[in-house]
Amino acid sequence: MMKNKIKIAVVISIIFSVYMFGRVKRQILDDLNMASSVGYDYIDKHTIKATTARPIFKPDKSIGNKIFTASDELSTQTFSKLSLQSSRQVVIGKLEVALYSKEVAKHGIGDIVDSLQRDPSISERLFVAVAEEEASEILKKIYGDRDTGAYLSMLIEQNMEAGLLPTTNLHQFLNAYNSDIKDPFLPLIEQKGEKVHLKGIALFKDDHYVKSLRNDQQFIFQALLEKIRLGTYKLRLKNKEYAAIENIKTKNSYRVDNLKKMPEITIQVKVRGIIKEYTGKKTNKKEIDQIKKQMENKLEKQAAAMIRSFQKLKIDPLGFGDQVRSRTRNFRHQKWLNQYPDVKIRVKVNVTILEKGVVD
Amino acid sequence: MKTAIKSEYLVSPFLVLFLVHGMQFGVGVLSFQRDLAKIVGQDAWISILVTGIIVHILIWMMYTMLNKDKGDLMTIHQRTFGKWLGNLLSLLFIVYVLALSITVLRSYIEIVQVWMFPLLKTWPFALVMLLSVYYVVSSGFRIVTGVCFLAVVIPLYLVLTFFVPIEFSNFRNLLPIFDHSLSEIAKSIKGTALAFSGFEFLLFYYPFIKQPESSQKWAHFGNIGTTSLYLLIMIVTLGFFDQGYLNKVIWPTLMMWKIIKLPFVERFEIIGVTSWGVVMLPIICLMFWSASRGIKEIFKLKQRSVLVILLFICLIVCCLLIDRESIQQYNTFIGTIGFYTLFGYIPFLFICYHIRFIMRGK
Amino acid sequence: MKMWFRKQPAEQAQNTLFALLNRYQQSGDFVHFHHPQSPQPFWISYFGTLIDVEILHRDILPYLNKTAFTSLEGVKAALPFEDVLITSDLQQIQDQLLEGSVLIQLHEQDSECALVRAEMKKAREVTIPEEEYSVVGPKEAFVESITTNLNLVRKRLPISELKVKEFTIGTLSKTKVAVLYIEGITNEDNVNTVCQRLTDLQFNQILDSSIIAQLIADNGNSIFPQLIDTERPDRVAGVLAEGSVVILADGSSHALIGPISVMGLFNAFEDYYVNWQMASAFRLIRVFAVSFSILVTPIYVAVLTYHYQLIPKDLMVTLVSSRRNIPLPPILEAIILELTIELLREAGARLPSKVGQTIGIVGGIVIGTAAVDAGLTSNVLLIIVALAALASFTTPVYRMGNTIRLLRFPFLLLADLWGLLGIAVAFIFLMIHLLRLRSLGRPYLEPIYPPRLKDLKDSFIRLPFSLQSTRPVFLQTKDRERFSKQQASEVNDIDE
Repeated sequence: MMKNKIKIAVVISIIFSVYMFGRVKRQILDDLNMASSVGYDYIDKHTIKATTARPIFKPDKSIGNKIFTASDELSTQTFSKLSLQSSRQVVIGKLEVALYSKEVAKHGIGDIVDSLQRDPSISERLFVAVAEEEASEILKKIYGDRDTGAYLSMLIEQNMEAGLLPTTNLHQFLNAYNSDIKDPFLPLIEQKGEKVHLKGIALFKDDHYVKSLRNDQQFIFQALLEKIRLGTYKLRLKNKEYAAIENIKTKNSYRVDNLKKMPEITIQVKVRGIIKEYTGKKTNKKEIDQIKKQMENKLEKQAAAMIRSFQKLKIDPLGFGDQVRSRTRNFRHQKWLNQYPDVKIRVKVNVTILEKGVVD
Repeated sequence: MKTAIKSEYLVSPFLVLFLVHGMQFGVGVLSFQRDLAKIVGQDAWISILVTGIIVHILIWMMYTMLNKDKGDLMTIHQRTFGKWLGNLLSLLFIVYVLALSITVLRSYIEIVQVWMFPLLKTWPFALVMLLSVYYVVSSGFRIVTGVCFLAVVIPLYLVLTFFVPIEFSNFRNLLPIFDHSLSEIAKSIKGTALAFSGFEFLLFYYPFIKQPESSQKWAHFGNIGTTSLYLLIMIVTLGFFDQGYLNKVIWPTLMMWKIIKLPFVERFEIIGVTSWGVVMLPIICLMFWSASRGIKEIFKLKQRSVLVILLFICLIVCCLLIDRESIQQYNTFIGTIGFYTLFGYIPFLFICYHIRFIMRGK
Repeated sequence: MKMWFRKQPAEQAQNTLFALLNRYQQSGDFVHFHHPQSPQPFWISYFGTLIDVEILHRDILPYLNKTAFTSLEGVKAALPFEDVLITSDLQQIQDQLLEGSVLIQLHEQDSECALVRAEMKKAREVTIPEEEYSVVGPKEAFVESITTNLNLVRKRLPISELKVKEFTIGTLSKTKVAVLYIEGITNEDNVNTVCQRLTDLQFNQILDSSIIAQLIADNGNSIFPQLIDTERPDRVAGVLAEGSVVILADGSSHALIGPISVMGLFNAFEDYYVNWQMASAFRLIRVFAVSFSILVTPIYVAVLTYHYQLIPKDLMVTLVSSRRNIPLPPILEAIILELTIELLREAGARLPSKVGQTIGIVGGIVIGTAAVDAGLTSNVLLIIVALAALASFTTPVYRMGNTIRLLRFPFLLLADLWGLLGIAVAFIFLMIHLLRLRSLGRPYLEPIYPPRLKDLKDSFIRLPFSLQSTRPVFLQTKDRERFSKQQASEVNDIDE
């Protein structure tokens, strides 16, 4: 009997002490200021301006937008400063988009991204992007019926699925950023009047922004990077006609030779698509052959120009270094980095036109 | 030498599979990839295979000893080294088990504190977990096995989640294969020791198994299960993270869970961390059961009282390890001891036992 | 002073029958009269409220009046009863009189008498089962009389191996308790355990079999029932054939079945009367409903209080706007709603049926809507709590419904303390408790742990009868096979 009483007393005291001292911080849903997007602008060498947009849930189920701005040296400090302005606790767990202005990106975003890395409540699927002008300008406006963060993330995600943008999220960015031989890239967003749109791809060297990819090179960039499932390509033919090829599927295969001395990389890209629009008269076999040949030529030229510019700037967003590394024993990073500008990289494109729509 | 255990406290041999596998698959899973990859990079999966095979050999060694002895670790020690030295060695082993349990519990609480609740004080949570451990261990070995069984079966759904990161993976990261020297692979095995540890408790619960000889195959199956799971996770990790990134991430498994997105739930690592509490419970339970039973046999004390004292010690030490650095140090220290215990001491014991056996036979 | 504390001269040995009858005459309903006429005078005594007057008038008095008898043997021969007892054992006379026998003496001072059983058997008629109602299948239910119940069981198992062991339990109620089992199938350990526990029972009043269930349970502090009670004789017959032990008590319309495993709490006997596919689907739905009922409110509280990151952004809009203007944290909201539903249930149970139904509907709808409009609770939580309450009643065993209602609260409290981690901790404790629990000495969690693959065929799902040729392993029956497996007929090729 005594034993039982002791047991009960112990259990009750444990429960009591746990309830008294074991509490954790509550984060009740509607008492939170859930920032869905954050943008960083450059003020000067030591200060960053951060802007967050958070959704406001109105009773009639529509969503509004509310902006907070603060500046500080460290990006995480800006969050606490943002808290000073907000009636609710600012949390970044639901962050969907992180925007960096071009200025910030030029000076290096490594440190800021590091803070995103360390926080366990940030999702790896966060979309990171570069803003053409000021990030706060983009975030201040309301687009569509969603808050800015949701809108931007949907913009990026939808384009990825439509095959117009290569897969990119925080995880891919961090993978490339932390690697010695690969360089990251991010989507570039521009604001035109009341709308935002995806302008292109921003290329980085380590963590500095160097340049943005030319629009016409975007397709071949994506084709070299990954398998496209739903691409589109516009072709201007020699006879001044235009052809639009859609539903493009691509596959790439890399071949590396001469590993001991100076590696040579040959990339074979297979493109298969359907002609959706053609301004010419008819599409018989001759026409299709023409389209095919000219597309191949065009793509090869674009690829060559693009790769040359990469080599000149010493950036490697496509992962050529990784291709070489995975085939070399005792890979030496420094050796590769020194060799990179002189490596011969050739792209061969093979186009197959599958269908031409429902009319001839 | 000892009274046989009553048959109603015995456990069927099939359950040894879960006992072995459940003990091995523990807190180590969440972070083992990084230490391995630092040494052997993309060949880490080879280290896992090699370690798995070595563990098979160790299990075989243990079974040969135990089958001949029909006892447990304490009796083997006593037979091989005599009463005093044998008991001392058993006691050292028990201290190692206790220290290991502190590692497991504190690592888990740390993960909770980092990933879920930064303000959680260590001692209330440890108190509740230890209370549940008392509840389990005081009900006997059958319940401990039951907890092991359920804690392996219920979180099986987590295995499916390891297939999701494949979407974002690049398996070229695994090439080139065998780019590291054998000595580097050997060095890395030291780190994996802690991840594979858990099978040595067979030495404590062998007398509680019905028809113990037939349970050997289940123990090997358990180890195969663990090895294959580790292999799967390692390969996916290597594909998902590039080497540079992997070197920075402390808990790669949890980072991989971050990428999972289901229609009704987004941040899966929270569910993962919560399920891990269930996975980790039987490990601590069996450790305390073994330790308290060992002390009971050596000093002839009541197992229940010993249990309470051991739980208390564990609680106090857990609260003394406050920051990440000290936890890291402690874990590495225990890991090294574990490596030498498992991979060094068990073969040594095996040899000594057989020498004695042959000598006695003469 | 001594007057007040004068002890009754009771408990003195009632050495004579005469003294006994005098004592009884202090009760108003004891009849004791002398039949002086011919041919032979006799004395009759009985408890007027216990006997069936018809039998007295029709079967006893006429025969006694007609026949001439000189001794009690003659009385016995004269009466058309097969079990007339002639005795002078006072204890037996007491017991029999109190059970409704008529006592016949030749002379008033005689110590020997004849006892004739003439008890009034007033019990309910055999009707439709109330709790375990099934759409298909027989609709007979047990009643309060143990003889009728035994009849209902025996006619379904007309074999000689069906054994009935009788006990009398309860110092005040002297309830007849019967233990049924099939010899040759049931493991004797189970039977012995039950009989042992029953004989060891020290209790004053057994009013219902559920009291027996609580008294002989392995762990009286657990909220999980360790013996299932049922009011269907077909279920009893079914489990007896599987190898269980059944306890029937007089005055109780429920029979107790043991040993059970946790899967038995999800099995309705109706499952055997429908197709195996439907039965399996329904069982799975029940398991899901129970876990849903226990877990969904705590998960709501946990996610909204601590884990906002888990909610997908589309669902976020609904949840945040539903929680707009609500002054209470989610845990208090949930507790208030749960308590309201419990109030409704209790109130509905106490009121007479007609009023009770109205209160239930009015209470539910009106209070619910008003609470949402007043901004005290959110409509999402209201739906969740209502669904959980509904889901808790899908278990065929009524007791389990109560268990689930209660189980929800610790989960809720722990969810408020530590969010999802708290739910995991609560789950751990629940798991350990179930692992430790035993039913008549057998592990409660049987087909799951210790894992018995063969028993799984009748737990979460029900496989067709052709696959169920062995009895459940956990009952450790002596005879393992139900019926011999037929040789599978050869599979013919098409059009052959």
